[in-house]
Amino acid sequence: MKQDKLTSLRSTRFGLGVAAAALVTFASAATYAQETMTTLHYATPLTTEVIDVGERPLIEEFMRRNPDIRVEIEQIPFSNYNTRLTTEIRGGQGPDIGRINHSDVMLFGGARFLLPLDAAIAEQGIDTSVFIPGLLDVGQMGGVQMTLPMTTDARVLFYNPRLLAEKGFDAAPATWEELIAVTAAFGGTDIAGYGLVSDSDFALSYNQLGPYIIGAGGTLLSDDGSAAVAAESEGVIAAVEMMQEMVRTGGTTPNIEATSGANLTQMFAQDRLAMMLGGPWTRTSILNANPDLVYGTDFATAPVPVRQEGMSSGSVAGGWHMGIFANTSHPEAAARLLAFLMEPENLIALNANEAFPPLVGGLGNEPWSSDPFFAAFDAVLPGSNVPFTPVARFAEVSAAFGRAMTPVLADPSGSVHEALADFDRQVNTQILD
Amino acid sequence: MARLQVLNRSPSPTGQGDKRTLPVGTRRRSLPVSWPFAVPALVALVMVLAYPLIYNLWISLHIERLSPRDGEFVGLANYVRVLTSGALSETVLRTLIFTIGSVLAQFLLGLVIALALEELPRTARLVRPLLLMPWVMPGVAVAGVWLGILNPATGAAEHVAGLLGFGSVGWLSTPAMAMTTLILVNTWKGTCYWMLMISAGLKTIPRETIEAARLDGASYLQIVLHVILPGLRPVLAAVAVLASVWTFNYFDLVFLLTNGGPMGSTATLPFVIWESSFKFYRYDLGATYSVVSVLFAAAAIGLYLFVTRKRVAR
Repeated sequence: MKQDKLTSLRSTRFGLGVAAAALVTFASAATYAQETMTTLHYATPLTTEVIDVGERPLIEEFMRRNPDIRVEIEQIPFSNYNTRLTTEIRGGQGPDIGRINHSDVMLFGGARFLLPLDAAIAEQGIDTSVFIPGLLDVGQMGGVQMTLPMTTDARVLFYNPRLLAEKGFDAAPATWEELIAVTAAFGGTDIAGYGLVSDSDFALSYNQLGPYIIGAGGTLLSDDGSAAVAAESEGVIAAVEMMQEMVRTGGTTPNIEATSGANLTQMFAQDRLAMMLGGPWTRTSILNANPDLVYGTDFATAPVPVRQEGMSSGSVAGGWHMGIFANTSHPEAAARLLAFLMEPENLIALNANEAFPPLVGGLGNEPWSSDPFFAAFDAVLPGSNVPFTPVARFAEVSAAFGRAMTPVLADPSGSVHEALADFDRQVNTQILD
Repeated sequence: MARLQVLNRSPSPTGQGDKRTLPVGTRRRSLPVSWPFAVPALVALVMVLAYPLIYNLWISLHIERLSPRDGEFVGLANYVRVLTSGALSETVLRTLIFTIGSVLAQFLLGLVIALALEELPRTARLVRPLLLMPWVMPGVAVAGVWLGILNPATGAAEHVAGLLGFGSVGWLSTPAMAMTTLILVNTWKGTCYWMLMISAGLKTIPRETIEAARLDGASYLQIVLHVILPGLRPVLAAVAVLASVWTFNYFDLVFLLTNGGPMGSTATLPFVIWESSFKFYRYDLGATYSVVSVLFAAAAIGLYLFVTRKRVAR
């Protein structure tokens, strides 16, 4: 009996010893793994639905190829994205790498939030010749590449073929003159010919006037971004006067300030609006408002009407860039993730459900090449650009343009030249400092 | 050397209490023993109140706008810029229009409702909780409800205006209409507070005074103007000051309903502070505007203290 107890005690002690050794070994291994594993925080403003078919599979593939790097996706709502980023970074925190809106590159760069990418591009062998040159330029500050383009988009004319046919038009307007004529045909009716809104700081510069200004060769700021020159730009004056002419026909949507882009989409989907400008996301919005609509029959897309026949159509291009944040503790790992995502096939995969790849000839790939919806976008993309020279105060300049132009569009008897002169004065004295 | 004077609080046979007697000529100085217990609260007050205020003032004296010059001391340059650009005076004017318009409308409507409920006590028991609902709704919910009502395409307001033969009103589409609509919505939300305070104040007016006036042949309007309102003056003054401060600082409704538009016509001071700081990243200008806002609030609080002190003095 006594011998049995002794044996049992020895066995228990032996078992405890083995368990302790195993625990120590495991803890050490876990600690070692943590110390050798690099964790990157990747910031994005996209919703889960878009991330799950775009970035997430790519990031998971990156982690498979780079087992020493773990990437945590930090999802921040779009409306709060910049506020969170700037607050975190000013507090010495923030993600390692993430999306930056093209309009914020100069702002973040000037605030020293971003690491210059020239060294990373060289070390990681990123081929920048595949990018649309204009988009690459947007990511530069003082000749230094601060970000690389991830996505791009454009605006085209969405129109209702049936409504146009009822008024005797068998095709979308191709010139400004035709655009005014089609809009005028709806004047005094219950259906609006053209949708016009000014519901945000970027509405006029990006979605309403911007495409026409770019098509007419106009510019709001000087090439170096040091001064506002809208009142001297013949293309800007012509575009605004063209839009005033459309408003005078009585065929545009009323209440330019109170109508939102969402209202326009609703009206379009309900056959109460014949034409409007929109981006690649507009198709989803239209079909959400009315799932029974069929592209080609109930709605279609066409290039933005040009000033004169024979001119190339242009549009406003937006999109997201990717940058490495200056607070990162892992610049080399962040550069490896950047290089992976910037591979052309990955950019194509990332944009398949979102917008367009920022690559030369990008829309020649699937799923865009076989979808007739994107034909108009393919036509305007080569002539597309940001609405004005990227500057740090991009949002303020855009807001000032909206505030200056809205009154002369709401009341087309107003002087365009005076409004543009006011805009120039405000930008030059209060914004560009 | 001063000593603590210790009072023995246990009752003595003489009923006078025992006191430790000190030598003649010794200065007696009693120190409160409770102040160490207030230190944590004072520290919290400094951290939560004083530090943000002082840091805000510091920002307003420097460049802080996500630029390479951030941190540079510029003295009063931000204040000069804000004052000379004309933006501040226009913004303050808009804010005062919104504040005075809302407070006046809330007072008038609140007075009418309070007087009506005073005459209908049974109805008041049913109606008062319903009238409380707009006041307890968060600003976000209020804005959401009214954005639906005022939607130019599908809103009930446009539909009713059409039925009444007004056509498209454009509630938020012109500067004048947008400010008017903002005041109306704020009135809808805030009238209940006035109603509650006035109802409570009415209870303090002696019924005999009202009866006497009635017996003297005064009409109801005369009773309201010459008996009730004078009797409510202290309540009205205090409520007016508080409501003015709250409305002056009200951000939610402007942000959600009009976003400062159309064309900046409803951009009140709180909105401009937010816009400068979080939309345009001009933290320095935002801080400058907020210092100005604090000065206005301080003036209002001073007025409130003056009014209430006068009331206590009586």
